[in-house]
Amino acid sequence: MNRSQGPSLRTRRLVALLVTSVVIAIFWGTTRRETSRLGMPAFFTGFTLLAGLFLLMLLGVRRRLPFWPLGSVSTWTQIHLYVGVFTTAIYVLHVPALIAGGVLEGCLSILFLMVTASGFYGIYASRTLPKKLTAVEGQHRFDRIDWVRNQIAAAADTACRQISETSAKQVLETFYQQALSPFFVSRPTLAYVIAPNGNRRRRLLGDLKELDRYLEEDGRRVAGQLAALVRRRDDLDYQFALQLRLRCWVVFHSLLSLVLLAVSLIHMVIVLRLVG
Amino acid sequence: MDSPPTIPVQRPSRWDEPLDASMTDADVAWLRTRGPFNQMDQSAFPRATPLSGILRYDCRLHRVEPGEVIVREGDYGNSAFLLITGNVRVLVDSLTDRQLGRQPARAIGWGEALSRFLRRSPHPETRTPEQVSINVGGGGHQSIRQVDDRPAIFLQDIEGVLRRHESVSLGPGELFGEVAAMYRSPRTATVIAETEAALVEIRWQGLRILRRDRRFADTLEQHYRRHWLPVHLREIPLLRYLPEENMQRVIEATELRSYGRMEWNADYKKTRKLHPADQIASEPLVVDQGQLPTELIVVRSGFGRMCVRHGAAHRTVAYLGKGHLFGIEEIAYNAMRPESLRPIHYQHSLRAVGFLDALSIPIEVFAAEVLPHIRKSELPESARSLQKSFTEKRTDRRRVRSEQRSEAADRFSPDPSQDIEHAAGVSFESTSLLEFIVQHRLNNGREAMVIDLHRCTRCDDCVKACADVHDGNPRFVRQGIVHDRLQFVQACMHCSDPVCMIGCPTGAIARDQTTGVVSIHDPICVGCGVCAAACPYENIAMAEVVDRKGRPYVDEKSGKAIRKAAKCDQCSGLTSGPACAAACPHDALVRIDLSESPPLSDWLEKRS
Amino acid sequence: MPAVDAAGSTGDARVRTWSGRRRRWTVFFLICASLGAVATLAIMPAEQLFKPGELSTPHAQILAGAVAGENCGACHHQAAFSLAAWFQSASDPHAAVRQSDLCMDCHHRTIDANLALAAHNLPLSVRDQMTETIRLASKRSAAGSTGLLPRLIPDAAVDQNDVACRTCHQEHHGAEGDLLSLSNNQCQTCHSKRFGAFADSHPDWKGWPYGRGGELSFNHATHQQTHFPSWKSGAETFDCSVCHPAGPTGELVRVASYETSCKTCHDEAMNVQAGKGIAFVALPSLPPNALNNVSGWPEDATGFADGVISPLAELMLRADPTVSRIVRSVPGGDVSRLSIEDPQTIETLSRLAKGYQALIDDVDRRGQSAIQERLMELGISPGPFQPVLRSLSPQLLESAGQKWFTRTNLTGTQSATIARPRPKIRLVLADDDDLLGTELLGSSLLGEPGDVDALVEDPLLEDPLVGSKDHSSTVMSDVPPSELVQVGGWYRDDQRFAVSYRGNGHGDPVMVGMIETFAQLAEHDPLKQRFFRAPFVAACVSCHPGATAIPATWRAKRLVGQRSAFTKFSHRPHLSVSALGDCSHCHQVRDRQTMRDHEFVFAGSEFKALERESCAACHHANAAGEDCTQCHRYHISDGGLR
Repeated sequence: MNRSQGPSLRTRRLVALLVTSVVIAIFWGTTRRETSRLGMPAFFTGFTLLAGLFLLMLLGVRRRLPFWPLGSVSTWTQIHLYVGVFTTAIYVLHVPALIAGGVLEGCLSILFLMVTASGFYGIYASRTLPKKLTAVEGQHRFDRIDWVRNQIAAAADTACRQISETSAKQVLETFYQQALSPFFVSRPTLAYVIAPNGNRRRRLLGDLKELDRYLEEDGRRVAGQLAALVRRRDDLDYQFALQLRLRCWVVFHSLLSLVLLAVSLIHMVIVLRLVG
Repeated sequence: MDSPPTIPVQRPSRWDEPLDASMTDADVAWLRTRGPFNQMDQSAFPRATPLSGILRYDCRLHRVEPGEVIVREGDYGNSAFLLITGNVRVLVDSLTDRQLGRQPARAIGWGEALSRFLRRSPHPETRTPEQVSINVGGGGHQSIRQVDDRPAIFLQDIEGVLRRHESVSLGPGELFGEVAAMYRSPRTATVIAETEAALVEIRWQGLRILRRDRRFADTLEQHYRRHWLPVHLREIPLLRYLPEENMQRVIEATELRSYGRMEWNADYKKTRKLHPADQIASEPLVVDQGQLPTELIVVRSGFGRMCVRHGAAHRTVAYLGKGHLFGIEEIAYNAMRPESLRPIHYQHSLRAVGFLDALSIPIEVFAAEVLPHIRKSELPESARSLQKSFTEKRTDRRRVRSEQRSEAADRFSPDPSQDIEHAAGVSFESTSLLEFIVQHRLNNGREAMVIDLHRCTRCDDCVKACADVHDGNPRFVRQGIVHDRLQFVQACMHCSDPVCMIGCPTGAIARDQTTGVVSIHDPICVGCGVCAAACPYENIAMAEVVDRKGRPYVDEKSGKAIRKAAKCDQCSGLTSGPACAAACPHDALVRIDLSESPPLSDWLEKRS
Repeated sequence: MPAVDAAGSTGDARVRTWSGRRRRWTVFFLICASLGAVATLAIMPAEQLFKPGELSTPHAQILAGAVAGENCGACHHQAAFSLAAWFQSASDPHAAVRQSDLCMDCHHRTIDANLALAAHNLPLSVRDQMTETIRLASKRSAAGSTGLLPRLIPDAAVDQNDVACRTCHQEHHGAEGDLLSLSNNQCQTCHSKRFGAFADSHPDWKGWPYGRGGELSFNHATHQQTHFPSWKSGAETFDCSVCHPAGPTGELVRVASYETSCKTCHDEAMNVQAGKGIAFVALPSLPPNALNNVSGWPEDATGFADGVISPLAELMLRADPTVSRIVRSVPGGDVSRLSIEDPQTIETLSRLAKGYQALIDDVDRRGQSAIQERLMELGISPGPFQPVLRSLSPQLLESAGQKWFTRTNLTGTQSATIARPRPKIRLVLADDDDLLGTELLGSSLLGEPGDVDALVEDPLLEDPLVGSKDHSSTVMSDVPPSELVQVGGWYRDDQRFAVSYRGNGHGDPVMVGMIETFAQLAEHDPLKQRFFRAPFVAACVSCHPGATAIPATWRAKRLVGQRSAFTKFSHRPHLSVSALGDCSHCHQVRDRQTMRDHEFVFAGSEFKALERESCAACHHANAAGEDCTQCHRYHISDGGLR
């Protein structure tokens, strides 16, 4: 069995996009046709949408059934992705306006657009953030980040304690108490988690560098250790922020999609009941 | 580098770690009175390693009880056994897994998979009593018993087994298991004690020195050349069209050479920290670059590093594994070149990575017997242009026959009708990736878990899926060494050289003959931890087991917690294949054979 | 590489895993979402919540006043949001009610409820007939060049006999939502014959927009080329905008009023044509032998049988069962055409004379109700005749009777009025007050016959009136009586023994009333023909051919905004194109001089045909558009397409 068989990712993407656009074109044509013949294309597109939603939900189902040979999740993800694109197109065919007028329908369309937008963001995020994560030193597991953070804090504490020179001790300990300790002990701020940046790291490293002029060799060595720890800690926070983002969007997407499915079922029932 | 002040230490010596510390001088003396040691020529042994030293440090005395399984077919081992007293039986037929106390591999149906998933234990490492010990519920006759101070596994109903299976009885003075020990191949037969017997277990280091004794060596050599060399040669894909008479002449001329240390895994833990250049320098040299080719090297087992001098050090260009050839290009060219052209020298050096067993076929024999029977398309590029005069028509009939033979010879090899590429080694476009893989001995992995970090969103779905199909216990940790965008995850690689299987007292860790998956059979795992210690990649964990209510199992005698080895079993039994790879939503995780380069390079190619 | 065991846990401190946290979040969020949904349901009425979009303004305004609960139910028969109702649909007593039925609850005024769901609101038979006509027509004309595109139009998804309103009119698309938008393909999906671009494949129209039954008879060609140049040597110019000025909305008026357009030329002639007017009664001259048992027939009206029974009198006499057969037997109402030799003639004339007397007597006694009753006797609606009645004073007839009939012997009270001797003077009553003497009419209707007698016999009441009449008659004795009513009105002509009406110019209500009354007679009734041949009637009907129809049409109807026509057209948007400001750009009158008469007649219209190309110059997809609905209506009644 050769697992490396199959088309390259680029070919796969090309073929899938092509197939998706052909299918979308067919559905567009059918909708046009149905409109021309005074049929009710909204039913056609509506049920297609519902079927699409169910198909999209199946990815979540497949993820929760790892023990059955139901095809690999990556295959399902690909299906999910292109069905998502397809469903978005069908949505455009289905609705008279991007955001519908009524309360329920308006909520439904906003929900749909939110789920779709988060889906598209997900594609973007899951294709770009891993590279950023890989570029950062140290591949930390999300569940161990707290532990590593404590390790770093402990290491910093130890480094600070091992200073023997009294002059350096005073300088570094003051700085450690004022600036470094809060940094090492606390978790990253929400602002940093949302939009990680290098400001904090630059500021701390710059301040630490400034201290060099007050230090002798031993002190500089410790300062160097502390700087390395600051870098590690910042890398860790960066990893934490990006991994959290990657995880949160999945939660957001899947939670909203549950609500979306429920509301669209209500929509379907009401429409079927009140039609003509 | 400046030289730091010296620290005087004692040089580690050959026998710092005896196989059995309890061997006494009396034991040695007694052994020396028994055959074949009593007939050995003392003077043949070097002074540093006298025969008595070998017996003292490289041997162990065993007492086996009737029905005890001494070696199992398919196991890897690094020691041979010499029967002193009593009788043992060599079973010609294979025993079933169940008879050996293993759970036979079976497909898990949809319903069972679901019920397993739904009845996951809330506690880590839960086992049923049956899984904890095979002795539970086995009645009065226990499958695993302590014999002297070691656990041993016993066949149930030995008479019945002997009645039903064809077997050969061995008596005092006979040696068995030496091929597996010397040449790192799976044991070919199961041996059980027929009566109470005494055995000397000789580890391969000792065995190798014992060959200094000419008679002993001849016996071994003849045995090997008669029984095993033909088999090994026929496993070589390049020789698959060789007619029988040519093969005989090749067999006569071929020699087997061993390089490096069998226990490379122990060394590796130390050498991996070395600078790569030092690491290469420490590896035994098989062939040096620039020599005139005299023989074709075929790797029979172990690994070789093919490198060229580059600047001040060596650059790895490929690594060799089982069945790979070294020097084919030079030899084929030299053999076919017109007289006018000068012969070329070896273009690369070959070094043993860990250990390397190589068959060497002399160039004359190769040119005369083998070269005419090689497909043109399989010849190296440089030789192919010279090949005309060597063309020989081959009929389809012959090809079919050869294929059948070849198929029987090598189960894991790709379709033999295909041209065999990379017969001369495995290389990647990226030298650094190659160096990395060799340096970390990842080329051992047949089912290595590789993650493409550029696509991995760190969602841990792989770990979750693994836990979901393993009763809530993930069998790997999503961490591991990283090279560029690839992470080689700490999950069992089901190595081509499964060092973990060496030394398992009960055969609880076993390789499936058809799939090559190495898995642990809980009921006969005694929790000794030998496998976990042996694994150079630290991919086996020892877990203290509890029952479904979370109560830990303890040994009824010592009161110590029962431990079991736990590792990836490649989700054997699940028809979905490894759950980790199936669960990855982004095509980031793959279980891949690193002993060959095409799978990984193809895989990388796809995502470039 | 840190050694970590397979479980990945580093200590015994239990940390909640990501999936555990995620599960808690999920549960929390779903609970919040359901609570939110319940709260929304509680706060907001279901109708408002489930409304899928704003209604279009007209519908929204209608429903604005409705009780909240009836909002949806007004259009959705299934609308019931109580939980119980959702499970009762099987036993719904209104199962047969459909949404379109609810539409028709309001729209039955404009659309026939029975045909509302039929395509084009036409019955199947009519549609089949039209399909066949079009099929045959398109077979004959090779022109039906339909491209590939029309063939790609799919067949309709709807049953043509059951086209629900919402098929085309889709609601809930916002206040500005267009309920009427329909694409060409949608229009044509039901049609077996389909068209592509307007310029290429729209079928030719023959005479449209001419000959669409204008209610005025006006020949543009003769007016332009003959009458205008010749009248007062071209004092008036033939200008389209005089008769077809732009109205207040900018739309062209179909015909401006008589006063602005026709009066200058036609008023004079019409007064001439009015002449002596039309007689209500005019006693014929009868032979004496026919008057043997007729008392008081004026001597001046005795002699040879001569004179014509005026149409109005014949109408009245027909209602008298004793003479109705007699009157019909007089050919052309001309008593002179009766054969003297025929023994029946004397009898006929005698009965006729009595009929006249009875008529005058009847009107004399009972006034307007007598006339009305007679009309109703004939099955004629007296409604249109009312202007006549209002203007015709019974007393005028009474005076005529008194004047003409000099009888002495009369039986009973019946002829009491006639028995009274009267001076032979010409009496003309032309007072408007008297004509509209409702007071008098009312009293005569309310009062008993006896009262009338008592009133009439009172000399104190009669004398001053009589005296004044005498006075006036002496003054005007030498003027012809018809000239006494120069601005129109009823008059008595003792010379002709007639009570006549002289019309007054255009639009005289009495003439209108008479014409509309006679129009009710059967088509081949000689009386009707005779009436309409009369010059003073012909003067009206020659320009108002629609006046003879039931109901009568006098004015040219506005075609713009007509709801039942298949094709609609408005000049207004076209006039904003400067080139089209000149009417002759589209409407060209045929040249009378170069065209022989019979050709002119067979051309069907005095206008040259309006070619499709001239429309298609602008009406293509890239300019003015070529939507079906730009020119065509879907909802047409049976008559609309004809």
